[in-house]
Amino acid sequence: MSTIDPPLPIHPRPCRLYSLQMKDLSALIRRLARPDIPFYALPWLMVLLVAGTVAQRDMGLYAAQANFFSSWIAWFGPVPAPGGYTTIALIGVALAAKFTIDSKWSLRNAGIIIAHGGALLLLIGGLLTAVTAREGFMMIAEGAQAAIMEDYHDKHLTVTGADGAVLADMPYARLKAGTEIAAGPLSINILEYCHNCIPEEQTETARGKLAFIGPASKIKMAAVPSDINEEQNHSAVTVAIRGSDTGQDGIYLMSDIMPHQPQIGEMTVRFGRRQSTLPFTVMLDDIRRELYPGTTMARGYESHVRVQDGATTWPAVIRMNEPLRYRGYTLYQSNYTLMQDGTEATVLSAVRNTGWLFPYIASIVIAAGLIVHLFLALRGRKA
Amino acid sequence: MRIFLLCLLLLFPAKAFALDVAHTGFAAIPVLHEGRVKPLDSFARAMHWRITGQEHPQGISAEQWLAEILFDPLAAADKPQFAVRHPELAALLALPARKGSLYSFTEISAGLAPHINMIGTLAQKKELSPAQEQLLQLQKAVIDYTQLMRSLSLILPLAVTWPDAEGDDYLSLRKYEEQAQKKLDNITKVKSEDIERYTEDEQQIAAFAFQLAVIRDSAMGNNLLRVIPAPWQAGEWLSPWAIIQSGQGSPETASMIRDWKDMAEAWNFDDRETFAGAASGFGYNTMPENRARLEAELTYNKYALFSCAMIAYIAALAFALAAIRRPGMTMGAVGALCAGALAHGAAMALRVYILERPPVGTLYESVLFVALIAVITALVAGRRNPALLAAGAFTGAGLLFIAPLLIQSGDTMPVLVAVLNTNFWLATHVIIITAGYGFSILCGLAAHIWLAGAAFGKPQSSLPMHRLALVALLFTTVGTILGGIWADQSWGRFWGWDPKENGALMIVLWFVWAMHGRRAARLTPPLYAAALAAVNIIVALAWFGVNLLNVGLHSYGFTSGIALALTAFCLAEALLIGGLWYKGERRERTA
Repeated sequence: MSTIDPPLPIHPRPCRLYSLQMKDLSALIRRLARPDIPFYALPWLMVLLVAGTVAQRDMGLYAAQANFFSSWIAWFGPVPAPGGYTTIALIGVALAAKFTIDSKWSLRNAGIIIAHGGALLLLIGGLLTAVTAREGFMMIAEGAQAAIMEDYHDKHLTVTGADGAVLADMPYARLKAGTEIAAGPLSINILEYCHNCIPEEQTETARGKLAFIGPASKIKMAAVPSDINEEQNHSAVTVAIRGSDTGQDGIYLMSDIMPHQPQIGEMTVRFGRRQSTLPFTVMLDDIRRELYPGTTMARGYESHVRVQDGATTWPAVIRMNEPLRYRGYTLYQSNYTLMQDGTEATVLSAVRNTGWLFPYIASIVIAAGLIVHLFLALRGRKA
Repeated sequence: MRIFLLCLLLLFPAKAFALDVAHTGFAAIPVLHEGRVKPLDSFARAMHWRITGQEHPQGISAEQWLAEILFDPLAAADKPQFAVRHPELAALLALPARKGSLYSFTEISAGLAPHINMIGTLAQKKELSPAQEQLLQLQKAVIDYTQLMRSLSLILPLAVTWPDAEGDDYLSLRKYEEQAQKKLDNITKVKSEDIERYTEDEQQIAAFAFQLAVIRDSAMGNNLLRVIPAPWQAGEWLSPWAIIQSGQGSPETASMIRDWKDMAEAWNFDDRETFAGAASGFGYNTMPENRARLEAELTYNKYALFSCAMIAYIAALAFALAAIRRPGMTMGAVGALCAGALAHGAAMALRVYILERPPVGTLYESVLFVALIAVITALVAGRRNPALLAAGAFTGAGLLFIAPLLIQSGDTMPVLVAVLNTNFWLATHVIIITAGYGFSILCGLAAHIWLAGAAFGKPQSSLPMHRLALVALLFTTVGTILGGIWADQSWGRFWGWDPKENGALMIVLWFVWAMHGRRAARLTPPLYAAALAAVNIIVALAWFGVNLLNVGLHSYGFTSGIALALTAFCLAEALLIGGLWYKGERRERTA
């Protein structure tokens, strides 16, 4: 006869667990609300600020920002340390804890409380921005139109089918020589890639059974040291494509500054900045550059555009310091350039950021709080 | 002092053969330079700064200096104007050692001639030695000087002439150039280019054709002295040469150039009256609509209001320091500070009027504004506290002394790059954040006073240090966030970790940290004061230091050559604050 295990006591333990959790939680919040966290976290944030600012001289803004500010772990050479995200998150959590359970709600503290509420708003906005913001740019020549924005940094190798469906999508950061990407019937093998490349004359005509096709038959890309301005780096990738039923197997070269996108049967292979489609179309009627008289120095730029959404079209002007906001997107005047055929073109920054309004409100709240506090401090002195 | 100066002038009288252009209306002639129509006086000052590196010419006015180059280029070529102090550079240009190290255009251009190719390659390089940098600067100065000397070569009398021709300058003689060239072609056909075989007449024809060609070719692209409003293009002004060479002439421009011819002739005959008539007539005819602005600028140039303010601040500093022992002197300090602030404010107001924009758009202007804010704050917060008045006076005088070192192009009123060309943000973000710098500096100095009081056993209880810190925090915080909002409006991101943004954030965080430390009693009062005093270091780094990095979107405020001064300042401040704090702590413990 087998022994039967006695039934486990079910009720008491979850109850104890629950009460323990509540106690722990409130103890944790109280711990987080203690002023020593900002007292040590703020100086650390300042250390990060100084290090990240000075580092920009050598590694450029993009890399310095990625390491020191937009990071959970910042690397000081080989030494890991809390990054900007970690530090700001800690300060934010401490602020929220202090604000929710441990504020001394009194008139004397009104200014301080309001100012801290504003700071909390600012951090919430920052969190929203960090999570949701997408930024890129669109270049439109005069008379042309565009509904696609390209990311500044994020580069991808993509394969799309006849209907536009994405069959494969590989971010640049995950490219490795030898990687095989399967896209439908195609097998794409990464041969070489470089982060910052310059074109050189192609010396080979074929490698094994595969011939160099298109631009690859004339040029190859050679890696050069990366520029500290990330936007200046032109990346390229060389791939071997096999398995096409149209006899297009071969070696192809793609670069983010070349418009060449191999068409393999009904599929398109593309390497370049990540693209996303806006829910509306922008047509550029005119880009105007006003110069200071007698100089080549710009006084201002303005793009006269027409925005088309569905069946409606209306004109708008985008100037420096005067962006166009529509359907969650904001378009900014960013640059002026000439196309190869001499047509003038505008470069618009395009940003989608749900947190954009927070700094506006936060600045008002913080200012109000500090003014109230200052007023109370002055009055308290006179009384 | 005055009498001593007068004696000096009598001992070395100015040379008599240059016409005195003072009060002839010459200084008021409008000229388009670096994107802005300004009086010739401002143009002359800017050019003098660019060419010689000095703010004022020695012994003469800037307008006089310019007139002598324009109307008497031959004499100007031999005047020692260019300073070559670097021994390596002097050796390279084969210049003789000389007291004062000043050399003439003739000497410098002869020295530069063999190195033109090398200079061309230098201009492409990024990292340069000090000698190489000075060489490039010298070459730029020589090019500017050449442009100025040739500005009027179309109307100055020439040594060559043409039979039966009227006039003696290029402009009147150029109609014979074709004739001369044809004759010269015939001569060279027969006698080739061997000038030895030419008759005297033929030699004259050759000399005439040659000189006219030289003048014409050497004036290609001469467009520095833009004094003629272009008749076909509103807002565009051209130099006399550019009018002729671009074929944009009209009866009006011809009459305007004739005015300059009259000035040149009057110059030759030393006829001040005729010169004045031509100069003021020309100035009147070309005067743009904003005449009052040009006159305001002449006034601004004439009265060195910032120097007056600086002298008043120095006097106020002396009064305030004396008042620390004798409180009766406080009113003297307040009076002198008020007088200085009045001159200072008037000069800033004139700049606002002339430039039609808020007072701060360049690094130079930010220093002027911070100085004014610090002085006014000292007057408001410390009218009964001589030490704080002294701090305000010291900040005012010190910053006004530093300001001229930060001028980038000779003109203290340059036009602004496109992104800064917005009165709304200049009036809000820039004003608030620079005011924040001003409050921060005064708060830092108040903290110094507190520390000194603790160190020397005279505790300062009535010092509004904490309230100043609150005001500074308010302005730097709001200013920083507004900066983010501006960035959001113009570049599409609120925060980009750009050095200038980080610098502003540093100040805010520092204040926030110090205040939290104080509230949580983690910073003792002396430590809190030391933390506030150290704000000065942070402000200096945020204000000037980030420009040294020369990266990021904000790098329009680039300053060079201040790294050493900045390092020295920070070290000295750190030592001073540390020393005062240590002394105060020891006194506390022994007491």
